[in-house]
Amino acid sequence: MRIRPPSAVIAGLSAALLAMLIGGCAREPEVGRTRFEAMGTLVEVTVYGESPETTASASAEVEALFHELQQRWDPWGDGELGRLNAAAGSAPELPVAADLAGLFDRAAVISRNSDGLFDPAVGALIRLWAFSSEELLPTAPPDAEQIQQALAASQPLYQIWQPATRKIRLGPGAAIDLGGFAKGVAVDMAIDLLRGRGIDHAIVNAGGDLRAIGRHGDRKWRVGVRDPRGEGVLAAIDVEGDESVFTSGDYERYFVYQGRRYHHIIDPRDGYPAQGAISVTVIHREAGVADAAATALFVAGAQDWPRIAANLGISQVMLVDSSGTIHMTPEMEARTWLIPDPKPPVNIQRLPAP
Amino acid sequence: MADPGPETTREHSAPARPLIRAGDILIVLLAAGLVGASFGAFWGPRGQGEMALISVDRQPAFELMLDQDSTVDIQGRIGTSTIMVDGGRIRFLDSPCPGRYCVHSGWLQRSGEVAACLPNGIVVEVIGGEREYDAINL
Repeated sequence: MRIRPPSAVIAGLSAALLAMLIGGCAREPEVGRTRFEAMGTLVEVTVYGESPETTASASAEVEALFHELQQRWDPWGDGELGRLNAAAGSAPELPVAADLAGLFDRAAVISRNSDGLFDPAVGALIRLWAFSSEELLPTAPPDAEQIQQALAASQPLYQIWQPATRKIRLGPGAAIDLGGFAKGVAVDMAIDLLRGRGIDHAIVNAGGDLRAIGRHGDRKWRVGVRDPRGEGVLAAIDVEGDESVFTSGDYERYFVYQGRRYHHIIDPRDGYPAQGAISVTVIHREAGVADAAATALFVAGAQDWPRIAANLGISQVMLVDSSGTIHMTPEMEARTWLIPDPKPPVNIQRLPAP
Repeated sequence: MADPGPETTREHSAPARPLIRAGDILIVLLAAGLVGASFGAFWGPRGQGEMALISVDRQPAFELMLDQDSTVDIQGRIGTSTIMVDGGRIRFLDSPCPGRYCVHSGWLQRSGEVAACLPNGIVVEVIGGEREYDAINL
């Protein structure tokens, strides 16, 4: 005799399975997101597993923090750094307020270890190119003579900052610009603030540069690295615990003049946009270090980056050169999932001993 | 040959039942739906957003369906930004900001991707569908 299971039982099981599938997909994880504008970019705070009230109040504090830091660290405003720059040349040595001095200590170490490829002391040069201000953005490169004058007026930060006396030798026409560092430090301070409010799982993402702590529930946080030339995502990277992912690229802040692209990452050695890479991604615990390192390695370019990365103690680097070849350290390659199909050419590069 | 017995006799003599009944059709439909849903969930394009949320001055203003090609002018703080939907993607086509970083952002299509014209106060975010990335690094 053939055994026929009752149709109603099969129908019931199918419906239950379908409901589980749909229910499983539709169940939204407990993620809260807020977004605000600060430091010339969009900042997004993502929090996992907290109440909407906790997320909202902590994010509002992060927003207030970013706005305060923006005011204090604006090179041309009326905050601490703006006042210091305004006083350049008024005395051989200028005293520096304690908070700013702490930043200068850290920035000077990175400046020295990168052979000056990351150098906040080229503020006059950065102002000349005016990438930091949308309103002033030039449609043509600055005059070559002006660039030479700005270069002549500046010395690397590690040569003019005196940690022991908390004084800086800032001559006439020289200025400090913490771009390429300040945003990272702000992200670090925002993460500290969130932790102080008892939040253990979060991402602070400032215009695409981020620090992530904890994880997204039962999985790691997933970060997509933008493809510098194609559309969409070049690489997926899972992060958890406490890591920062920073990318410097030539593809957003730029202008085209007489058929040539001029982007915003200026080589402190010659005063023009650096040419050796189109994007550099760095993973490091501290966002401030990751920010400055991404800038320095972009300037170093496809040939010199391994030496500078070793000197900076940065082991996870991905650099895309102008031909589209991806250069990665083994540590980066081990955790990076390249998305484009076919895969771009990849060069795995071990770092030399520092 | 022995008597086949009452059981067999009864089977042969039972009234004819239809080969397919309404319940069977229901099962087939449910199974087909399940296969379709599974296929979409496991093999479909992951992360594809369904619509874009346009915000003006931090306030959600309206949504654009990404499966309907369109070009929309939006009045912002300093002028008119033009946003284009084409083939499931969306981008700033033009904007009155000097830097045009929003235009340089190019096409967005994954859920969670964002482009902004900060001087004009306009933000475009792809939403809906499965969010593949918690953050985009750029």
